[in-house]
Amino acid sequence: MKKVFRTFPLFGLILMHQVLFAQNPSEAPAATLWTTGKIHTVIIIAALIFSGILFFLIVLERKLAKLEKQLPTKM
Amino acid sequence: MYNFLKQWWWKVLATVLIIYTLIMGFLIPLGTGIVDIEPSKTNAGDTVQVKIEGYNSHFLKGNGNQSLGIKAFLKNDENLLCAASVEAKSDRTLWATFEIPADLKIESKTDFYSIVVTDPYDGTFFLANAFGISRVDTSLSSRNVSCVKELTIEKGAATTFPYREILYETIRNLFFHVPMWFAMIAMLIFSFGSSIAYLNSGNSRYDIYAHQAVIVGVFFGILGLLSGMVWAKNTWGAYWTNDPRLNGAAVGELVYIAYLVLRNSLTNDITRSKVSAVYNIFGFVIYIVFIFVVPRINDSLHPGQGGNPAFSNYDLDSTLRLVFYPACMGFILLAFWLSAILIRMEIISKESAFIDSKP
Repeated sequence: MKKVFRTFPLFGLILMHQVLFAQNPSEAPAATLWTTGKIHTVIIIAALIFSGILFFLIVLERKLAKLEKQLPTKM
Repeated sequence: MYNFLKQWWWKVLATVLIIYTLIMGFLIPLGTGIVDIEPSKTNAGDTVQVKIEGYNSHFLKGNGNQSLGIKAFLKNDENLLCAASVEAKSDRTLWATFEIPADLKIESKTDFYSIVVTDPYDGTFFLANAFGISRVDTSLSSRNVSCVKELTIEKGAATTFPYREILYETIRNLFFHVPMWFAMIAMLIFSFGSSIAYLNSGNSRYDIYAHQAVIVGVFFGILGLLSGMVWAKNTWGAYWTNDPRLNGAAVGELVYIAYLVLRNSLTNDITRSKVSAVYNIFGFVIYIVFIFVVPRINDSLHPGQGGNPAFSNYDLDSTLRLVFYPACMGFILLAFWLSAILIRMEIISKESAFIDSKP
């Protein structure tokens, strides 16, 4: 634990380097739009939908397990 | 119906269509547009060099290092100014020089012009009402300027999704957010039909169809609401707006959640089946009113609202249709697939001789 606290300021230094490289903020929005064009929204939504379907599968799995328990012979 | 639910061909079709949607929906590039121009205003009589920043533009493509064939215009309802010279610095940056005549007719203090670029590879694209021209000397007589008779709109060479301001790449959400609602409505129609069939025949299987289809329908509705909220946050600026379609969808969702609660609260099998079938039939009518009729009467942020049908040529172009229709079909079939699994499990638990249905 002591070691962690001792190395902690070092992490701070790593973060500082990013701050130093922050460029003219007025250029930032157009630049991000160029590279992404809000594509992250689409990725979040696609991920949301497919994780929703995975969640549905988990619920289905539990339901099926419950059904299997009711069978007279062990599956 | 039961035999159809057990068939496999449409499940393969669902898989193929959803994979197609993912591949085409992400790989087809967005069309070309203008992100920003600098400067954005000038005075009549000046010669101004405008820096145009393109999105997905290919100003250098096919031209070596020159700007052959690229034309830039300033356009409003009355005037059309051509660029004296155009120079492409990179695929994304274009410099256009405009000589604004001193006697250009200006209606108000500052007239706003759309900046239009025609590129041999990307076609015609524009940024609407982006460039202001102000009048300094009011003593001059004014005239209308039109450097070419008519601006020809050219189509780009590549297959692209349309570039729209505010939406940008999120136009691809059309293939993920909207099919959720199509899938939900397909499930609710299936459930509605099953409830009618149950009341007609008294066959308890139809009751199982109706119940499980509503579960899958509500599930897709929740996915539709969540995906819509993320999209709204990134385009309209808030997770929830007082848009009639949003509130209608939420109320419709509640109608069906109430259906599920109602079912669970009744203990007698026959009463439960009959009451929930009747509720389902009325609930479906209410749902259709909330999701299709009310948003049409009021203005909405959703496209195609306020009296216009949603499938206008303006809202959906042919490239979007190429992915949108398969996406809807794919998610509708996926919804049927999920409901088929639930229905078959429910039938086993209710009808199997081995399983005691009353725990």
